[in-house]
Amino acid sequence: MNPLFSTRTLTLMSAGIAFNMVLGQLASMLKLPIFLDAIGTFVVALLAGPLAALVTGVATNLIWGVLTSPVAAAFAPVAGVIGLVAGLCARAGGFRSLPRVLLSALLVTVAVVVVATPIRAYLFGGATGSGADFFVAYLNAVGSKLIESVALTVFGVNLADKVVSALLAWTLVRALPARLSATFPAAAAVR
Amino acid sequence: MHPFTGFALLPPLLLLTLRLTDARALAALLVVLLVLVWMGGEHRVRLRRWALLMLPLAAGLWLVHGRYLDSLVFGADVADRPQRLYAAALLWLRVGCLLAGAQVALRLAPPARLTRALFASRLPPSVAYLLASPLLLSVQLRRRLAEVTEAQRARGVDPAAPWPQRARTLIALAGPLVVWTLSDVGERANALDARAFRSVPCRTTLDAPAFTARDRALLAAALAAFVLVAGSWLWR
Repeated sequence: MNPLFSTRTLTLMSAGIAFNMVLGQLASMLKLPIFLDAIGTFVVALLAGPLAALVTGVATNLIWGVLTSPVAAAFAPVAGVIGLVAGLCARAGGFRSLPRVLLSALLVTVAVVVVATPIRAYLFGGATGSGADFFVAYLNAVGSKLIESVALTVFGVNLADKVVSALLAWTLVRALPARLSATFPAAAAVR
Repeated sequence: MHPFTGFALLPPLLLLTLRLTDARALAALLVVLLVLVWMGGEHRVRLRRWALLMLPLAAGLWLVHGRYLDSLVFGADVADRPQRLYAAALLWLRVGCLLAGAQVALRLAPPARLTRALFASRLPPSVAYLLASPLLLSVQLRRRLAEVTEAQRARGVDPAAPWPQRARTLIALAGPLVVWTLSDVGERANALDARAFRSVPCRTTLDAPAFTARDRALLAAALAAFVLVAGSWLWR
């Protein structure tokens, strides 16, 4: 029986997980107000497709959960859906031009909202201990239900991050030498 | 102790925190778990990590569930505030217990031992590789990132510049790292295939962590605790 992923795809996924772990550190080193912890997932989505990216996202958060705290593991479905939607968008030509990349980032953010909102609202009571809790409390105070407040806040917090991550991954994959990108036969079109 | 044993203690703990509905009982459990964290190695780092997550979460839950903005900004009267805050406190205690329990388990599974245990485990080789290899690769990538940062600094990239300029340096710093690592992907895959990766389900490991009688006893205790708590829940 043929394995689900070739050895090359497995090593690419391993590199993608390591990118997620290290490039998040780069964002904090540059003191940028974004997470950048899904760039590896986007790169795998562009080079190996949605299923490999889904597994990359889930594995990243499971490893983070083991290394730091189970909070990251609780958000593993969110990381998985980022990879899945980014991979599907890439397959559909969503990374062929700048406007398409922005639209793909918007779709990824919407998917994140759908999956992350119930986790954040029911598992953590709508709070995460970040400044975003103030917006949840404010929206709650102006009449929104808790789940609506959490959804709006998750959308706002994630939009900038996912747009920057998608743009960065797209720029990096486009800039790969042709000799190198040819070694990934399942890569999506990026121009 | 085997690195996997500690993780077996988490499912009964999760069930127990859900089963307990009294704040005093949960607080007592939390104190016990924090004492266990304090008694272990690296307790300062682990307690700090716990506090850095839990104290801001307490503030967030207090703000969201106490509905203080309703009173302060809009002058609304929140009659059920004590009940809301009690529910939030229960949630905070549950999350706190789980995080403290996870710190106890993580103390038993430092990354180096966990990597060896994963490679020596009965997991399929591809799953073990996917979970263990990023731990090794990320150490190399951090070193490479430091080298790339140093090289780009010499070329005039300033990681301490105003933020629009810092955002532009992202490509300059991440680009070489990504291209460098992706160039290695093919070589790594060839090296693995050359060593018959996945051709047999079992691998030989020189220094696999031992699974002792103590580990077996702890696993049996964790399973018994899980059945006991689940049974008490269903009985009720």
